[in-house]
Amino acid sequence: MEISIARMFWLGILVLMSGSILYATTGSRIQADTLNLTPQVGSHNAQQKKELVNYGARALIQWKKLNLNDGRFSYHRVATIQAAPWRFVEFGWWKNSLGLCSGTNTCAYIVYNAGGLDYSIAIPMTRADHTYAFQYNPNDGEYYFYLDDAYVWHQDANFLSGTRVAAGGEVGLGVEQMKDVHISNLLYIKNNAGVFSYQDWNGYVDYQQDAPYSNTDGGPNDFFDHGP
Amino acid sequence: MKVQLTAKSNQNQKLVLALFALAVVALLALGWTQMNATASEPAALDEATLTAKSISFAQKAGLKGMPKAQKSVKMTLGEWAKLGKGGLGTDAGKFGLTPTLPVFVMVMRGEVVPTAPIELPPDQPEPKYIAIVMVLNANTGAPITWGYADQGDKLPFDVP
Repeated sequence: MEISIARMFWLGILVLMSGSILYATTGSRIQADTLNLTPQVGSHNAQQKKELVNYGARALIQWKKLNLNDGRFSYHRVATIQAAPWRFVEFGWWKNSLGLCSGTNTCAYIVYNAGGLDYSIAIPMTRADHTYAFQYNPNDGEYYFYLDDAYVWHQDANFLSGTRVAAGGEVGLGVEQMKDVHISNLLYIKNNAGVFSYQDWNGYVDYQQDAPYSNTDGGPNDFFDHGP
Repeated sequence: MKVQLTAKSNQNQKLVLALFALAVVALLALGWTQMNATASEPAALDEATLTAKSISFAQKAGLKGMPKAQKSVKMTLGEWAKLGKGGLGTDAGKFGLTPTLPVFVMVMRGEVVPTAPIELPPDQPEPKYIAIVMVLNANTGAPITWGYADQGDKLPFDVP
């Protein structure tokens, strides 16, 4: 009987190990499944926009197991932009092969330009769907960044309100997947006589579209970053 | 006797199941611990290591070759954020970012072609970047923030 106990115990371990090996080999097959695309210089975008005065934005960005195909990154974000002089703040989900996400491949990613350097901030986080938001604070003139409901950063971006909200995907070399990452619950912040409130985007138009990437419609407040 | 054997057999089966469940739980717990490990803060890396890591990450972010000139400063993440007219939010600690975290800031002059995402005005040529700033966690060497400077941009501190 003791032999049976040992056998069953090791059988259990064997099942677990087999499962792990199966998982690992399946993952390898996915990684090896490359696309026949030629890397190109410069990034490729698939973005939508809405031209209006705004004081911040918010979106739910849903995580996907996408393949970088030996490229650099796949980035999905929402942005507030002042067209002239050029200023912006943006926040989103970034997967990269550059080792720049504090030791992991994916992170929440803040990028801004306050009239000087283009700065980026990588925030380690879990693999999951997250809400990315930022809002102008009239009390100190800075933008406050929220990952879900967690207040993670504030930044003087040297502008008050944006003239455009934008959202969408960007890849580094044109070989990386966007894989229909879903950007939804799109909101912007409106200032009505000092009262700041979130408003639905309620529609958008093409902004930057670099083939083979594009956006596919979801609804008035959501769309997909489409790419091979 | 037969009844006793059956009872013993049932007891053994339960023991096997318990051991198996224990093994599964132990493996899951080990995995969970590894995934959520928050090791105590290690001592800050030495300057040579941080310099080498900064250059390596800068190259991954777009620095071509070695920097033509460089300067590094040690400070806290809170001090760095304040220098850039920003700051950490009250929940940043949940993500491992605290105002007292020691950071290694290195500014490098050289040819830079960004490989990380940046937002540029549509239909305009990409600026010529002449320097890159890397800010590393001085304890782990992991990058936290970085910046691309073009010709008109004022660097956070002077570099020869």
